[in-house]
Amino acid sequence: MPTSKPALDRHDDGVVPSVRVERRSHDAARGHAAVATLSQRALAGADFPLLLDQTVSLVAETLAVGMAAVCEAAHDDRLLLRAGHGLIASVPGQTCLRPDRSRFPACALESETPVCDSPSEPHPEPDSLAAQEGLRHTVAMRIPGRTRPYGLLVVGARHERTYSREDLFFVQAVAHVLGAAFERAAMDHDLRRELALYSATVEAAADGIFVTDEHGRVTRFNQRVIEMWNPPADVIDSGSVEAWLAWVPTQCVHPDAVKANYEAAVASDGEHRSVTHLKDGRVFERYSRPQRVDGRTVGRVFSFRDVTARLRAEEERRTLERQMLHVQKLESLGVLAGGIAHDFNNLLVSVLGNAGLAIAEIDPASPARGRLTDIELAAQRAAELTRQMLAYAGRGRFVVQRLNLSEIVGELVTLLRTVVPRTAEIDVRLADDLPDVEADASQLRQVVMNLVTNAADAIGGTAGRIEIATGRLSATRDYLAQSCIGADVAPGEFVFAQVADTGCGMDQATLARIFDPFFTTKVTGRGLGLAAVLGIVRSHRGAVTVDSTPGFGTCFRLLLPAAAASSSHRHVPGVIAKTALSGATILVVDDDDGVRTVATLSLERSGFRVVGACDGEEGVAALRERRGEFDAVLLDMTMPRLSGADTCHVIRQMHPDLPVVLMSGYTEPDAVARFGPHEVAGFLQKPFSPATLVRMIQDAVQRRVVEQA
Amino acid sequence: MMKDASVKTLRDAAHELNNLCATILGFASLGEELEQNSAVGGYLTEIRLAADGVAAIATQLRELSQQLETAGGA
Repeated sequence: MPTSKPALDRHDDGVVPSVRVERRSHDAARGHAAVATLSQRALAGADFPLLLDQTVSLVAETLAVGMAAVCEAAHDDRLLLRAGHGLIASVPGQTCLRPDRSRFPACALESETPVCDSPSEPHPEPDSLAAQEGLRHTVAMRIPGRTRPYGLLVVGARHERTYSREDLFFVQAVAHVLGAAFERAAMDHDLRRELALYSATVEAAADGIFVTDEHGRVTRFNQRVIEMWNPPADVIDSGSVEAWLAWVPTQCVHPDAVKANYEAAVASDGEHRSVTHLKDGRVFERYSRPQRVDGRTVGRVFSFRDVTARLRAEEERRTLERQMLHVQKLESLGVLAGGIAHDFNNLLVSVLGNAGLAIAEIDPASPARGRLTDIELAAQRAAELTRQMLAYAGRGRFVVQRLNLSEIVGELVTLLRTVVPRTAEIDVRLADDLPDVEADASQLRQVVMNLVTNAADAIGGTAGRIEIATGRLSATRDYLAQSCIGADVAPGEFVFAQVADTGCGMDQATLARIFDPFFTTKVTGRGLGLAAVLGIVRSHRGAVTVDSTPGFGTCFRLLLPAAAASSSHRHVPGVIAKTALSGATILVVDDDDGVRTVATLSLERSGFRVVGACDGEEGVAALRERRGEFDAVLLDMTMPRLSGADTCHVIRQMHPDLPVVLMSGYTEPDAVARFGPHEVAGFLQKPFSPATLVRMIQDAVQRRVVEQA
Repeated sequence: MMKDASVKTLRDAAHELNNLCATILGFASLGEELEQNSAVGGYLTEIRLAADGVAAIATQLRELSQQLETAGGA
């Protein structure tokens, strides 16, 4: 197949040279005009497929040939017909040329100048474009590309046609314009993809992103910003920072801060952060940095992050940590209080006991009598302080029984009126048919008394009202979570006692500290009243809610778990006939010399005979040696060698019916829990007075006498 | 672990106990002088000895609270 370099027209066409020159000039001018037109369209960024269609038409028209086409070099080495003018059999987008099977397009793709082809008849390559389209004289020019040729520009005539130098220059120029246009189209495609990726990235951000230019115009924002701020359509469409700065403050708790923060950010020319609180409770963190291009600031990028959930989680964690710390404090103090209680109470027993004995014996006219009374008073205050500390630590004396809360409060009403000023009215509303609670009666009385005392202090000397009420309620987990004490108590049925006053109320800072020991707002208060309430309520697995408004009053509500319905009767002390106790023998077992001495002297003064033992082993030995001689045992719980519990078990085996009265500085539940329901005759909390000791021993001995009778 | 209110509790309790002990010791000593040759004098001696013990515990409490405060502030 004859393919050749440009076959320039020969000079044997019989045309006059001057006419030929003029024709060539005319052809060149048309060619230049066509190239200029195409270049203009290519530079204008015309649609590339459209540009191809326009090009082939213009080329065919300019060269006055039957066909012009553009083929794109595909990655599989085929040439795909993309656009054509004057085609007969071929179809753009479908027809392919095979350079591997046709020498002409293969040569054209490798050449930097146009390649001509004038095959013999019939065409030696019947499948070629020239054969399909009936072309007799064809020119092909490679369309250059940056890394590889884009394809071929093919021009063909179905009649005799020679191509002048100007024709070939024209074809070459058009191919280069197409190459440049192709490069531009490829770059436009890449740029559009980059922009699409950028937009997708901005839209995919979890934060709201808002961009302004250096003139204060909004240049971009993502959908997240709209979701977070929910601006009206006119603000969204405005493209104006001023419009946004007019809308955003209306949503904020501190409107003035919005514009000030924006201006501070713009003025900073660096990073800027702020936190915005919205009226609906949400909190946004705002972070901004300048937007720089080639080192020049062209705008600013603001990002908004909704940190509401994070802050809420942090607050919940801090609350939990505070609660944990509070529990740890209580437990630490409880361990410490329990640790000192033993020694401390033994010493107070000695002080109170000896003071009581001395007062009983001293001459009423002695000047020392007044001193003894003062000593007794001071010792009682020390004992009260210890009880309060133990109660705060949840380790106070504790006798649990089924109780009716309305009855407990009702019994107190008369006493309560004495602590309430005359200017205050008391309104008592006690519910009937309340379920029982399992509680210590004396501690409940102390709680109610403390709450009413606080209410009276809150009212002061002014007119006011105190409402004392009882009732029942079903407390949910959410309800209990709001309580000051007992947030971790299981939900369920509760019985409540409520003390509400119309006094001065408390602010949040005071409310946060009212259960702290030694915290008081009273001039003469010691700050242990509510701390003791806290300890007592915790011991009962109860809860306390507090509602208070400064200037309007406070309502404390004490909740105790309702006891399961039971047929067991309440403990009612039996009436025991008094009997002559003179001569009854008591075994006093205590390792503390002071306590043992005071107990011995106190009992002896009341007519008992006393045998002392300095520990459990000595006590058991005395029981063995003097079998049947003892009428009761007074037994300390904490002793070296044989403990009080072990001693009691030995006594029970030796004398099942011998009354044993326990005494301890520790709490009664701790002490009594180790024994069966009828194993001990009583519990004596240290410190105690001689009178209390004597009364309890008398009761134990008398009960035994009655039972034996 | 022991901070804030708990340490303050210890310190205040120790302070109050010391005051009470001072009262008891003072009155016991005065009473002893007045009742030197009677059984009541013996009781007052026992009271003074017991109050000494209470004062010792209160002192230990106060020292403990100081140590905890120092540790908390370190």
